[in-house]
Amino acid sequence: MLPEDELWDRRVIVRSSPGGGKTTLLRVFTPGPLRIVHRNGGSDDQTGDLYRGLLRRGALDREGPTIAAALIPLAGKYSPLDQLDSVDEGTRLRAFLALLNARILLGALRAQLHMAALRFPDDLERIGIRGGLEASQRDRITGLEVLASATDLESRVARVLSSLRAPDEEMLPAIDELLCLNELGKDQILIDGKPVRSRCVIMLDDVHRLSASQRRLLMEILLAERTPTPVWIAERREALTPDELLATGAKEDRDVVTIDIERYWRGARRKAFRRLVGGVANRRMSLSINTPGSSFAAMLDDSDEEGWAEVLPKVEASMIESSEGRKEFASWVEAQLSKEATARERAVGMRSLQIRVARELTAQQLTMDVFVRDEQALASLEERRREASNIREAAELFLSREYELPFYFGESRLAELSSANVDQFLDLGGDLFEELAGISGAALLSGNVTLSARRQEEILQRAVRAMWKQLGSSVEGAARVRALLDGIGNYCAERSYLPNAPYAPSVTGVALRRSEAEQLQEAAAAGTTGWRSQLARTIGTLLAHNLITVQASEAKGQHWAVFYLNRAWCVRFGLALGYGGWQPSDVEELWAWAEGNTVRTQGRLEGT
Amino acid sequence: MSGTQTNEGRWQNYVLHLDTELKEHWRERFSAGAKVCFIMGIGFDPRMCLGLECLRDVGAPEALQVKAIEFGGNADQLAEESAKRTRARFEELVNELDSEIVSVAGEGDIDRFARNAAGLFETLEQLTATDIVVDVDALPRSLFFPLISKLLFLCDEAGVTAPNLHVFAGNAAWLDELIVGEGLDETAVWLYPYAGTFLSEADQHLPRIWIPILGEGDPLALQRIFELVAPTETCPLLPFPSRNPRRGDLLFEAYHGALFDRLRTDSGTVIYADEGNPFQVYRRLRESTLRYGKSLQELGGCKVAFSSLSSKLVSLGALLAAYELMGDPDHITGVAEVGTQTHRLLREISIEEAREKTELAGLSLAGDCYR
Repeated sequence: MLPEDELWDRRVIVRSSPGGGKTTLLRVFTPGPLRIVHRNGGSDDQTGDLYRGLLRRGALDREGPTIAAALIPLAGKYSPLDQLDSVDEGTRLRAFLALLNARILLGALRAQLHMAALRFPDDLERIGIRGGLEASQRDRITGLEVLASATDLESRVARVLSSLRAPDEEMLPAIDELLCLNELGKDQILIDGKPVRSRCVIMLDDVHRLSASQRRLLMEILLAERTPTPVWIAERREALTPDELLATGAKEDRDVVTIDIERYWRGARRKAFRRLVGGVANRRMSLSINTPGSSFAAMLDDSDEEGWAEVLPKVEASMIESSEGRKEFASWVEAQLSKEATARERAVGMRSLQIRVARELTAQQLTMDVFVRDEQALASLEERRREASNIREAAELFLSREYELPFYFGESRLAELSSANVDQFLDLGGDLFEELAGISGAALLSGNVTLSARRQEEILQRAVRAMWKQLGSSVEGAARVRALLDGIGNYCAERSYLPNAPYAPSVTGVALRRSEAEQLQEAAAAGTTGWRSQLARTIGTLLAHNLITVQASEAKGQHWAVFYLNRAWCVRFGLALGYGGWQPSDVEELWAWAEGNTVRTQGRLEGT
Repeated sequence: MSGTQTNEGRWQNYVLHLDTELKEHWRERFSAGAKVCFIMGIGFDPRMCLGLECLRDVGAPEALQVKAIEFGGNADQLAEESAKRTRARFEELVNELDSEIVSVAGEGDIDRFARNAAGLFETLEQLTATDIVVDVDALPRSLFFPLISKLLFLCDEAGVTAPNLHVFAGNAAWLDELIVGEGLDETAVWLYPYAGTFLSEADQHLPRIWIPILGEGDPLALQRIFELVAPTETCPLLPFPSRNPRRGDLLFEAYHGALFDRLRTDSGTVIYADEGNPFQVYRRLRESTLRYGKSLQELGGCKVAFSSLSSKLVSLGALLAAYELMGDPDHITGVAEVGTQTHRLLREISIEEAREKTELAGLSLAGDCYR
C-alpha cells in the first residue's frame, strides 16, 4: 500500500470511507507501536511481517525507530472557529493556523518524549526545540514554554468560542503559515541537550472534519511546497467534492502519494484482503475462545448437506423438465445425473445445466436439427472456466432463493461482503464472533465449535438489516440515499434472476455513459440546485460512505462509469457477490429511483 | 457566573411552582402589574401550549406578549399531525395577543443552531417586560440551553434593572417516553456556550469526569457522547425519587449493557436526584463537580462533562450547573449533546390527554425573588 522509496520525502494522503483503517495505518508509525514492533524484531509471529515492512520503508532500522509520528486529531477541534460569523473569514483562518501550529508543536514534543520513554508533561523541561521558533524570535525554546504558550493560546480561543458576548477578535491568535513544519526538521529537537534520532512526522487525522475553507487552506499550504517535516493527511472520502468522488481515475503527482484504502484492496488484491481479515478474525476469536489450532474459517461450516440432500430430487426433476425432453440435451442430463459428488455439488451442477439449457434455448441459432449437445460440447463449455464458475455461482444463488437454502456463509463470502472495509467486516462478523463465543463448554472441550451455514446466514442478514437501519442516521439525505440504493438493488435483482442468467453470477451495478457521468461532475462542481446537481450529490454521498463504488469500464465501444453496490447490499437484494455484472442506465432513471419512483419508463440496452 | 465557588450555590435556595400553585403565583403577578414576554417553541409536543394556556387563563391579554420560535427539523406522520393540532391551538390562544413568530436557522448543525439561538435576543430591550418566561416544552435542548444562558447572562449584566426570568416545563415522564429521536448524528458535540476547555490539547492529561443524566433515551446516544467526552470516570445520574418508583431501576437495567458492560462504569458512582425538581439535579451536579475538583486538585484538577438524555425539566438542572460554573478556571465544565435527524411519536397524543397528565413546573431563575 505504501511505497518503499522516498516515503518520508513525499506528502501522503490516506483516504477511505468510515472504518477503512486510516487511523490504524497512521497509528503504526506512532512511538508506542513502533517501539513494540522494534522490540519484538523480525522473528515474532504476530509482528514479524510488520517489522520487515517498516524496515523496508525506513521507519525502523536495527537500532530502533527512525521516525516518531505525532498523530494530530482534527475532529471537532477547529470547525467551531468557523461558526464565528461576526469575525471575518481571514481572521478565522489565521486563528485556525495558529491553533494548529501550536498543537502540532505540542504533539511533536509529546511523540518524542514517548519515544524516549519519558512522560508528558512531567519531563517537558528535558526537551526543547533549537534554531529558534520564528514566532518567538529566540534561539531555543523549551518544552515547558511550548506548553505554556499552547495553553494560553487554547484558553484564549476557548473563551472566544464560549463567549455569550460578541466575539472579541483581539483575543484570537493569528499566523499566516504553519511555521512549525520548518521548525521541527532534522536535529531540531533536543532531549537533554542532544538531538533526537527519530525524525518528526506529522500525521493529521480526520481532516474531513475541518470546515471546507479550513481544509482548502490546509491542503493549499501542505501541497504547495516541501518542508523539512513530512506531513501525512488522513481523511474520509466524504471530504472530496461530488465531482472529485465521481472521477474514475486520479491525477498522478510525483510529490504526493495518494492512497485510497478500499480501492487498493479491491480488484487484484481481493485475496490479500481476505487473508488480512482472516488474520483479524483469528485474533478476534482467540480473545474469546480458547481452541488452540482452530481458525475462524474452520468454525464457519461451509455446507448444509442435509438441506441440499432434501432438495436434490426436486432440483433433478426441474432440470429434466427444463430440457423439455429434447434429445439434443439427453447426454448432458444423463452425464449430470450420473455424477458422483456431494448433494450440494450435484444440485448446483444440475441447476447450472438448467441455466445452460435455457441459454441454448434462447439462442437464436438453435434449431431442432442442430448438433446433439454431447458431453464433449459441455466439457468445452466448462473449459471457459470463468464463465463456468459464474454460472455455478448463479445456479447456487438461484437454488438458495428457490429452496430457501443458505447462500451467504463461510469465511470467503464474509470477506467479500465486507467490501474491502475492515470495520464492515467486524460489524458483519461481530455477531458471528459473539455466537461462537457463546457456544457451550462441551462443544469447546470436544474442539467442535462450528456455526451452521443456515445460522451464519441468519446472523449476516440481521447485521445487514442493522446496517440499513443505521444508514438512516449516518448519512446526509438518508431518504434519497436509501431510495437510490433500493432502485439500483431492485433493478439488479430483476436482471439477475432471468432463467438463462445472462449476467451470471449477478448484476450488481449500473453504469452511466462516461459523458453522462462527466455532466454530473460538472453539475456537482457548479453547485446548482437542479436535479442533476442533487443527483450528483446523492451519488457523491453513496461513494463517500462506500455504499457504492465507481469503476471505469469499456463495453460496446463506449466508455462507462460503473457504480457497483457495496457487497453487503447484495444480501438485501439477494445478489451474488462477484463483480463484473452491470447494466446500463441513465441519469433520468437514477434520479427517478432517488425520488422513489421505481417504474421503468424506457427500454433498456442489453447488458454486458 | 465565575470565580471560586462557595458551598452555597446560586440556586441553593430556589423558587419552583407546580401546577395550581403556579397558576396562583401568576394570578398574583398579573394583579401586581406584571407584563410578561412569553417565549415558546412551535413544534409537535402536545404540551406545547400548556404554559401559554396557564398564563392566558390568569392574565389580561394586554399584559402578555408572545414570541414563538420556529425552527426546522423532521418528524414522522404522527408528530406532524400533532404539530397541526398544537399549531391550531396556538393560533387560538394568540388570537388577541401581541405575538410574533421568529425563526432560528441551522437545524442539522448543532453548533450553528445553538449560536443562532443565543443570537435571537441580543439585548433585553428587545423584550420589554417585567417578566420573561421561556417555555421549553416545544424547544430542543440545542436551542433552549443557549437561549436561556444568553437571557441569564443579559439579566446578570443588567443587574437590579433586569426583568425576572422564569422557565416553564411540563413534567410528564410518560410523554417523554413516547417521543423518540431517530437518526442520531454520527458524532456528539460540545453544546455552545458550554465547551469549556474540552477542545484544548495542552491540558488533555487532566482527568475527565462525565455525569450523564439518564432518561428513556437511546443507549447509542450515550455511546456517542462517551466517545466525545472520553471520560476517566462516569457517574450516571438517575431519577429518584420519581413518580414511577421503579423508574431508576428500569433505566439502570436499560443502560446496563452500555454503561456497565461496555463503558465500564463503576456502579458505586451513581447519583440520584428528584425527577420533578431540576434545582435538585443542579445541586447534585454542582456538588459532585466541586467534590471532584477538590479530590483531584493534587493532579492539577479535572474537567467535568454533563449530558442529558432525560426530560427537558431535568435537563434544566444541567443547564443551571453549567451556567454557574462557566468560566470558573478551577471547575472546568462542559455540556455534551448529540443531535437527531428525526423525531417520532410512538402513539397519538391529544392536547387534552397531555394537559390532564402533565404537571406544569415553573422555575424562577433570576430577578426579584433572588435579590
